[in-house]
Amino acid sequence: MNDDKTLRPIDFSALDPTRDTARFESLTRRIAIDAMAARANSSTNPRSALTPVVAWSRYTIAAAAAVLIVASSALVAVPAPVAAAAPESLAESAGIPASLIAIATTNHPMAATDLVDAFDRMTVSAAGQ
Amino acid sequence: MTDSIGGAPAEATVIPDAELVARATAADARALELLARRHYRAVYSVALAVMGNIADAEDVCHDALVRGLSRLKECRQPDRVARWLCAIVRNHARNEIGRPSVARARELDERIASADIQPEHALELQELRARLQAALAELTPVEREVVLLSDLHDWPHERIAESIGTSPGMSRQHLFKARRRLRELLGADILKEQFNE
Repeated sequence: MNDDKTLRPIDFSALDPTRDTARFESLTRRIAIDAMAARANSSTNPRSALTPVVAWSRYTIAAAAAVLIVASSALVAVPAPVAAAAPESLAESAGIPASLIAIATTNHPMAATDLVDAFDRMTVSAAGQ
Repeated sequence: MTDSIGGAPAEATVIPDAELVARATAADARALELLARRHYRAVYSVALAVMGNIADAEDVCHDALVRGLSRLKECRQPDRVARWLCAIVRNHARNEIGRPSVARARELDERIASADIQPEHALELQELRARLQAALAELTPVEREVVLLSDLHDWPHERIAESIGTSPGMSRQHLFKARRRLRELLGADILKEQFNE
């Protein structure tokens, strides 16, 4: 078996695990039993490709719940803004006098006197301010 | 491969590895045990080369063989299962070096190992083991693995070279250096009495 002809083999029989037959049988039997158990365990708990995703989703859901709780408590703690005054119409916002808006929004035909009155009221209100 | 081992029944030396692997994969516990017996000494040689002492080597062998034998489906070349198991044990052993959990098992193992032999013989055996382990520690890891696979497990250079990933020529060279160094350290009385040239 040993084709190294220059030096004789070393006697390692003191380190030989098969030296004690009963002990060797016990060692290898235990290995076989444990291997069968490990195999049975892995077959009853198959690890699919989704297993890591499912494991991570728990942490993701927990983090999302924590963010939701913090955000909700912040919304509750901040007082609601005071109700604002009735918003002006677009025409008022643009600076068109209310008297002119009133004339424009009526269904009646506008006379020249109405227009003069509206300008008069606008002039008076501007002077009063 | 159908190499023989000490203490193994004749059945273990007849059935090829590929067939044993197929049976073991099909949940045949007996085939699993035969594989463990057949290749234990080879993987133990690898583990001992890395770990440096018997107790740690046996712990590593147990854990790595359980892992390997429970995943035989992953062995792509069932006729070369020994090489595959050796690789698993080698990697596991390298990961386990210096871990206290491995070192703790030593005392218990020595008690079990010497429980059924005479005290004077146990002492003599322990001294001899200590000398061998100390001498092996003086070699490089690859020299340790080659000399143990050759002189403890009787593997030819072709198989050793395949296992450690080198050429048969390099395996011979490692073996020559290892034997020469061990002879210097241990003397001629540690050489085998008879061997086939």
